[in-house]
Amino acid sequence: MTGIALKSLSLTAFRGSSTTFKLPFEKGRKLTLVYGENGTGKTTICDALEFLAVGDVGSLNDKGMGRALEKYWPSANKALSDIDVVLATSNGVECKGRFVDKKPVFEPADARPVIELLRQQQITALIETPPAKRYEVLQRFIDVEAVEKSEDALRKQVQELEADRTSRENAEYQSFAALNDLFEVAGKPAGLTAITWAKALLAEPQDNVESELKAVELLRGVLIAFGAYPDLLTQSQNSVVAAKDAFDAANTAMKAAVVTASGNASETVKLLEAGKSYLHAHADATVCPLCESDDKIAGLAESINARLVQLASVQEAQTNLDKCRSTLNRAEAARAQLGANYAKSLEDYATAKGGFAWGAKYTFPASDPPADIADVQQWLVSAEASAKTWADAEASLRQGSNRFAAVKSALDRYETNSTRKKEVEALIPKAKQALEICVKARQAFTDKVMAEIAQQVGELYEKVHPNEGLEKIALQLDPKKRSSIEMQAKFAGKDVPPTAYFSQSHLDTLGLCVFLALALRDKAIEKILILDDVLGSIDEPHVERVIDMLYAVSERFRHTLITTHYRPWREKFRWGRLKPDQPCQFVELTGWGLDGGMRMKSALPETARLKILMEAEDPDLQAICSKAGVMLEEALDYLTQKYECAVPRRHGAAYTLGDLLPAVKGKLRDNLRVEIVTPIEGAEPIVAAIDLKPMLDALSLIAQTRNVMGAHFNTLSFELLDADAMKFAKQVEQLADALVCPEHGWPSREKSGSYWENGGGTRRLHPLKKPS
Amino acid sequence: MSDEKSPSETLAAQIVDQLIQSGLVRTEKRDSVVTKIASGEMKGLDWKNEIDLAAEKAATA
Repeated sequence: MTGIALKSLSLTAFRGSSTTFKLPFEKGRKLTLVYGENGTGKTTICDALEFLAVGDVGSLNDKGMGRALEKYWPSANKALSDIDVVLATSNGVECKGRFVDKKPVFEPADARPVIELLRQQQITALIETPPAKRYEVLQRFIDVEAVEKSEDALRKQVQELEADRTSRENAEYQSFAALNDLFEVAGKPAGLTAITWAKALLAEPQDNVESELKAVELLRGVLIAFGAYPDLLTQSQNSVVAAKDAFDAANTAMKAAVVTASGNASETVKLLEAGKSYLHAHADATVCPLCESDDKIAGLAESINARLVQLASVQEAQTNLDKCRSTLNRAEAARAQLGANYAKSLEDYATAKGGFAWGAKYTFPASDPPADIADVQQWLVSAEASAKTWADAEASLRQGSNRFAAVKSALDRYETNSTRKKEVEALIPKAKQALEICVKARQAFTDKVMAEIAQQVGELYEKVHPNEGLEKIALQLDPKKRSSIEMQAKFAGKDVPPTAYFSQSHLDTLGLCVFLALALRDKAIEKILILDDVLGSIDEPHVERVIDMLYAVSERFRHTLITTHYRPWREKFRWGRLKPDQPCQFVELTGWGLDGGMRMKSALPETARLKILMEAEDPDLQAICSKAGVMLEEALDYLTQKYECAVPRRHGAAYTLGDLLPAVKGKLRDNLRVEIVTPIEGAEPIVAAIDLKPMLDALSLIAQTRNVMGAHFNTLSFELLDADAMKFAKQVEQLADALVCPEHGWPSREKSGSYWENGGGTRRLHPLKKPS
Repeated sequence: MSDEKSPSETLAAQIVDQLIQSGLVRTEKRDSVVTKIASGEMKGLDWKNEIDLAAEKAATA
């Protein structure tokens, strides 16, 4: 909702409104005062707005009636379904609240009003409630729980970073210890630390070391190969000799077997083997395959087998001879391959020896390996001394390479851990700084909000109790107890809880100020402020100031509705003494009845009442003179007080017109002048000046009319004309119209410094001081 | 309806502006960081990364 002006509020069958009651809101007036004695329906009006706003009737709550209080929402003898509450606004929208199927329905929902409602019984609730409950009320202004959650995440992150730093310090220390061990193994070279030593070591070029290691590995490999040749040569030679001997023996054995079997046993065996194979393949042969005779074909296969058995020894000797020949051939080939390998080794040696620029620590045999493999054993003996230098060099190189790798690994680990530690060390102070900013900003934020609220409370309280409010009321978030708000007030120079020393009237005022301060803080221009009879216990001297304060505050709300049974308020309104800063609508409720419901009657100012009396077709002269007399007393009382005029001192200050009228005299009467200012929108206001002297002089002549015709039974009145009474009343009406604005009351402010002015600036009374 | 900020949103904006001034949050990340802080979604790692990146940006500027 926005600040759209209210047009009317209609209630039907709702609480005290048993019929339909309509409260029209006067155009251009944001403040409505509803006066009525108890039981006239003031709270019903508040209930209706609460019903529309929040769907509840709070005046029934907490009265020991349990729950399900909806049954009491309709007027007596009415049903929920009879309820009809309508709030009309100046833009033509009507927000309606009623019950459908026992459920409250509000249409249109977005037209429902937003209200701030304070009832008399709640006025000190916020002050007297425990700090935790007080926090709940203020929570909507200071609830930063989500920010606190993010802040807590940062706090934990700081703790994790500190733990991480410790872990990284340990890792850095351990990796340094490993590096230092290597440094000590290396003999801790003078002038170096483990770190500088490692860096110097790793800075040395490693390419030459690796190529030297490869070269010496190759050289030693060739030497190892040469070392095998003597045994291999012996084995090879022995194999050839043995194979040759075996072959020769087999050959001799073959020849002997052939001789024993026949002169041509060998050829015969071959022929028989061929015949056997043929007959095996042609089992049904009918003739000899050699002579083609069928004479002995029967049993020929068996005959061949028998003859082959006789020739087996020849066959065995032949087989052995073939095997020995094959063995001899392989042994001779292996010997030849050994020679070829040796030749290759000779080439490898030459390559290994000539492929690297050997340093002085390397020695070589006086001669290269011999071309004849048979001489290599002797060369190997001559190379033993040189070979030892090669082995020592390789071992040294290999050890250096391993240490390099170990140092490099240890230094890398150390530097990595050191870098990670430095990173986290650099981050921690920044994270702590961020956390400090969060904490301070949060505390400053809540302190500021609380201070602003307290300041607002103080400013409002100051208007009612001067010198008792500003900077003397404080709200503090208890740092030891989350969600707890302490309220302090200065009393006799000490900070104390207000409930400890404040009077009930002061507490009521303070409660009202706290409520207003909170209501003002939260989009006041969108809300209807409702104060239901909150002036009940405020003592008389302060009521007028409270009323002034409420007038001022009401400007900042969409609309303000104040109910009261405080009779002086009605009278002050009727006599124009409310000194309003803004136009006010005054509504008086009266005469409630079960059948007739709520009733509203006119709350006219006295000047309007006098005009009505005078305009009657058959005017009541006694009533007219009486009303005019009282009004004249009011005007003269006002003037004599403003200008401190001398009047007879009398007990009870019951001054008569005879006392007051002559007191306004001399230079004062001569100079009394009222400027009536009529504002014109978009243009300079119209100012009409009226001298009061002629009015007062005229009234001095006919003031007795009041006593004669309007105060007592007096036979003198028989002799006066009706016109005399009307003339007296007319003069009083003119004086009242000059002095009192119907909207803004009496000119009682002296801010201008040269005249008295009313709240709306529509009346200026000159002079400011009584001329001397 | 009113677009009035919640207390958390108001406070988060104040905090982030101070953090930016101190070089602990990058200017271009203001709105997203404000949203995260105001909603309680700013995790520990988010804080670490943002502070790290802001420091890195300041160092390279």
